[in-house]
Amino acid sequence: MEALHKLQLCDHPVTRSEVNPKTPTCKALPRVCSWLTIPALPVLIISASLLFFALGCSNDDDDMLVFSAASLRDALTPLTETFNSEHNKNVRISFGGSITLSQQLIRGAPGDLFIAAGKAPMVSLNEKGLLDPNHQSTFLTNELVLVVADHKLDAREPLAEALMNSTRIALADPRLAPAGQYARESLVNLGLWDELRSKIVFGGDVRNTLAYVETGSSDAGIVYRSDALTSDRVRIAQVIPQALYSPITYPAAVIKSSGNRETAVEFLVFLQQQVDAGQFQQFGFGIPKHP
Amino acid sequence: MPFPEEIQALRLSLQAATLGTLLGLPVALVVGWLLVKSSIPGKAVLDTLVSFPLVLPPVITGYFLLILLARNGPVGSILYKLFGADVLFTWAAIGLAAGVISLPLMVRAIEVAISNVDPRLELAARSLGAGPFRTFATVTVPLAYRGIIAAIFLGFARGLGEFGATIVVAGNIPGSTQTIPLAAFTSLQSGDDSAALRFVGLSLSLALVTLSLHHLLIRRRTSRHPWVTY
Repeated sequence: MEALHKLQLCDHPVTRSEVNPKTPTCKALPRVCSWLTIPALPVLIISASLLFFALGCSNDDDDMLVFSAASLRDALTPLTETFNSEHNKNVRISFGGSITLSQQLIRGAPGDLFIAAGKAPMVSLNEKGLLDPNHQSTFLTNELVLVVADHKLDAREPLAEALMNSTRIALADPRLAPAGQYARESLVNLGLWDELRSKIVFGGDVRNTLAYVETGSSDAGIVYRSDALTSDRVRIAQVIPQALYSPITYPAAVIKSSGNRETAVEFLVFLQQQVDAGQFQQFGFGIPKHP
Repeated sequence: MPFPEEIQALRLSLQAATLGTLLGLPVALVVGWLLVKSSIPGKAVLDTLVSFPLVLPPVITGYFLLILLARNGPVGSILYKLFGADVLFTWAAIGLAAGVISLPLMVRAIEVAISNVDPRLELAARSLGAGPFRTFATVTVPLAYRGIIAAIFLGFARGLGEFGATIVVAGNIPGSTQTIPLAAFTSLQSGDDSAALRFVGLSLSLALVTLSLHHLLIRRRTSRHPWVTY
């Protein structure tokens, strides 16, 4: 009981108020204070305003987000910087497996321009009516190669043997990136897909796949020629014959719901100019033969 | 400014973790109080519901959030009407995911803290004329503040490290939704070892700061009245 008297709920002595002598009140604390001391209230206010800030912020007009196939990373990044400084814009790029990116776009990700490494992701977006029909083009091609770590001896064996002799082969995941689909296609056409299944390790996109070979966790991998050229830790062991897989093309399209249409179209035009000027060939890409 | 990507990832992680903790705290306080001090029916159901994000794989929790927050989903449509913007693939979505994932941890910490408050003190306050809200605000919460602070830091730290739910509801867009765990993963995946190491260093520093702050806030000062625990 004594402890209860010594207990102080306020910083200062408790007195009885003049209004109601039976109810003790804190000397300097008005009743309304107690409501504000509920931590929930100010916390709610702060978090509500944070949420408002997070969702209310609109995109800058000069901002633009490109969703691009991972294989374009080395070629596209410096060109985007050039575009940004020349046209005074802020174009950003999100690289990834083309199928991963197309699924994000279908779920409403804020991409303005989409560049895929194959037709299928583009077609699935088209079917859902997400693409601007007036601004689509196919502007690059590529080839599939077998890469090995640079220090590996050049065995000069035919493709099938090279694959069978590898302990682990890295491929892009066919469910996430076209590179994986082309690779699987070629292995199926070689008749080796079933036999090699147990040796295959999948990367989320073609650059992950390259990294597996670079870091030595796989001794061989199937990537694009353009990817092989970016790294000095791998070398091309074999070129996969074109007959074994569908032609690799890079379609690009503006997203219909984009809030930065103008910039997206400008960028698309800029890219086509760069392709015509031969800026992409040095990275190992090819140009589609226009009919 | 050097290392723009790292700075952006840090900023995003901090923003999202803060939002998640702030959103989760009032919910955790209410739920914690309900589970400990109230006698509502269906406490077991509430407890199970709140515990789901702890026992489900974060990716699955992320999938539920994806359905709820889509523009035509139950929560997403309301937010779209209120703010005119999509939640998914923004840092608001990361914050919401962080809040949901860390909620069970915060609820548990607050439950422990509230149940350690001597009920006689609350009864004394009630007998002196305080209503239930005032008792909660001026007696229970100040006495449980150590546990509440622990809940805040636990929730914040968990929110900082969230990966599975984040990548599902917000993708991995550099500059807008690439938090530190996502950026570290991408660096790892692309073989960029130096970047990966930078993120390791960043995460360790953040962990140290968080733990030190927590320790600072709950250290016991020698009190004038040793029987008082606040």
